Amino acid sequence: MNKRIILIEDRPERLSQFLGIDQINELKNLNDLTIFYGENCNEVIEKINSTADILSLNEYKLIIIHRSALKDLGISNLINYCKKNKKDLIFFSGGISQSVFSSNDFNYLLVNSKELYQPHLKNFLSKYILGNIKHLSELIYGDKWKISIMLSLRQLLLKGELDRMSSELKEQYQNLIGINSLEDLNKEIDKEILII
Amino acid sequence: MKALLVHNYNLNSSLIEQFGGDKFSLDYYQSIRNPNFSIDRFFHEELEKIFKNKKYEVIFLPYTLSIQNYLELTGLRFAAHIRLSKEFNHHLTPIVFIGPESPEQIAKLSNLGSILFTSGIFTTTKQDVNSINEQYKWIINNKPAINEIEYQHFLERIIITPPDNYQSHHSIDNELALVRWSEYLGCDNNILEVKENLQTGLYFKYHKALYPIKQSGKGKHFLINGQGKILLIDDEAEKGWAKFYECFFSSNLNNKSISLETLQIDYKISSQEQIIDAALEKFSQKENLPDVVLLDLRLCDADFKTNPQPKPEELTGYKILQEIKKINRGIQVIITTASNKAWNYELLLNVGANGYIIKRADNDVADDIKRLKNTIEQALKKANFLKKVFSVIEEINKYIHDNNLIDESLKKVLENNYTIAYDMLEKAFDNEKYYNYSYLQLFICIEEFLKIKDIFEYGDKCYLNKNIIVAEKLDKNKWKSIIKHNESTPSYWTLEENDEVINITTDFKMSCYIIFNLNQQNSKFLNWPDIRDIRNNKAAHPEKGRVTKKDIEKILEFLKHIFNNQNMQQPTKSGLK
Repeated sequence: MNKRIILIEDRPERLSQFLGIDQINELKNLNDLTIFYGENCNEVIEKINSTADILSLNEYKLIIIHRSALKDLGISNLINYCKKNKKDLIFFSGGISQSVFSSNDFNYLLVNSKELYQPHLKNFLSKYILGNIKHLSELIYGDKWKISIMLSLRQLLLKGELDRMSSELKEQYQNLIGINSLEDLNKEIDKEILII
Repeated sequence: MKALLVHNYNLNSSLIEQFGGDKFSLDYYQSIRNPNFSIDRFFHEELEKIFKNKKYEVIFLPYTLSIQNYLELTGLRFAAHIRLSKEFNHHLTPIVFIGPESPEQIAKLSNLGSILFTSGIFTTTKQDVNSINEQYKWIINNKPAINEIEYQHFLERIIITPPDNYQSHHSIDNELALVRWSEYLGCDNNILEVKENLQTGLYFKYHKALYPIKQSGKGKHFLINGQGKILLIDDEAEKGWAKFYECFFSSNLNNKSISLETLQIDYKISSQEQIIDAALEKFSQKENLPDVVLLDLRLCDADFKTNPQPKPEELTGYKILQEIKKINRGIQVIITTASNKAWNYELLLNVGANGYIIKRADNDVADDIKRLKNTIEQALKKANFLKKVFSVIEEINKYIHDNNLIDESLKKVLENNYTIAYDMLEKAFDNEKYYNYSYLQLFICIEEFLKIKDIFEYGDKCYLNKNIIVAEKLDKNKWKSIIKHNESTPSYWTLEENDEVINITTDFKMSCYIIFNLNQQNSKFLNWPDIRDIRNNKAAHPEKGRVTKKDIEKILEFLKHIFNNQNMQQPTKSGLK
């Protein structure tokens, strides 16, 4: 079953600021992607701002929304909703100077608008819909996303955490990159960085 | 050991445990769900705590402070904050990065990796306390601090990109100017958020380090000489510019000589069309038009496109300027911009912009404020006169358009004359001679009016309205006429048959028109004798006298009356037999 996505952008001109007409049309034509922008998103924003139980988002697995469109309460509502319902959440905003990812409770990515509206956005969303995105950070790193996971795993290993890692976490890493020995990891990291 | 270890429990635990200096764990993951989380603000605030009353000799930290997403490489960002925040007094302190990667590998993964190739930055792959202690000692003995020259090299080498909402140096200059100008007038308490961005944002720190800013100083509030209605059209109005102008005009707002308005619109979520509509709404009441408009050119996201960049004429501000000038050219539009591009200036002047206020971060603030005051005073002065002039000319052009005695080619000639006369009045604020030239141009319209054969037909017999004989040639220099010259000061004409007229002048023709077609006893109506004498004695002789604004207003009122077909009456008086 496809994973549905909703993109909520209250600034009507921003899509065209970063993407060409053809790219915007490609996005609009993506099945399972709902785009609300400009005045059309007022209603959904209003709902998020006013209620913690945002039923209208239930059908979506990934919610991408302009953070500044929401009031503080709306941001909290949405975060709590995603946490409770295990939704993936991408907040974007022009003022965010550094992308940040967290998988505590749910997958949460904070990115600059420029990093969201890239030419490969359509590919990312298409893959996501089909369940072929393994990690949200693929949006910002593209093909390099695996390096980040490998580096994070190596950090854990060097910290001496391997023995203390839960089997669930070990399995997660195994699924994502298929490696868990430090020696293999070092080799793979060196190779991946070399070809950048 | 006067050393600091910053970490997020992401280094070998025995190193963290046994480290001999101060240790500070920095976990931004607790904060990233806060509604206004900004990593730069977070780092800045943490640095404030870390360095309070402390002086470290070496700082150790990992390349990243993230446990879940190594590529964030936030250790690099944190180090850049240390280097670029002189206020914490550790900007020259050696920094050691701990991690298994080589500096070259890190540099491939992040632009901020450029910091690794600057003086006073060291790296180690070893995570045991003995190696760290050795490195500490080595640094203390060999490179205890970087010097100012090395610091400059660091600034040249490091790569820090602005966040997306500061698409260009213009946005940076814009905010810096806002803060500096507000500080100068003592109203910077109104823009705390902007000030905080400037203080905590890494890019702003970098910008400030590259282009050190002189202290703004403190200025006094003053009264703007002039009165009128000012409209601010600026997408950053709510961010602080509206508050700044409220402060700038405060004395005039208090005594009600100036009113200040902004557009009640959220620029960020509005389309270009919506912004233009909201702007033009402010010009919907002809009797209550703004006098001066402070207009920014880039007002919506589409104006900030980078690929391709919008053409100047596609910018929202440009389109608004064009529309304002169609409504009333006398409204003074001052472009407020952080750009000093020549194309802007030339192009906008051609569409009718009346001036520029350039918001720069590196100018002398006192000069900027003085220039702002002068620009606005001059604009108010011009608007007070030119707005009225333009309205009257518009009215006259409408009468001309509706007047079926005037053929199409003459209509064009007259409209062109009025445009030239208006252009000269704009120039007259820089050189008063142009009042004279403008007056002459307007007087030509009277002469053109009198060339209409249905009004005055010249020949051996001169006719008014094709049927009233007002003069008949007796010989070369003598005319029999129905009106008589009265030699008072100023001279005028009355209805009385005589044979003393030597020439059929414009004065004669117009006096006939006034007495017959406007049904007056004499030609004094609407100050015609003055209008005539100003033309002959002042306008045509700029070396002798200057035409004044009042003179211009007088002739315009006269023109408005004569071109209005409704004012023309069926003559009741008889001409020559």
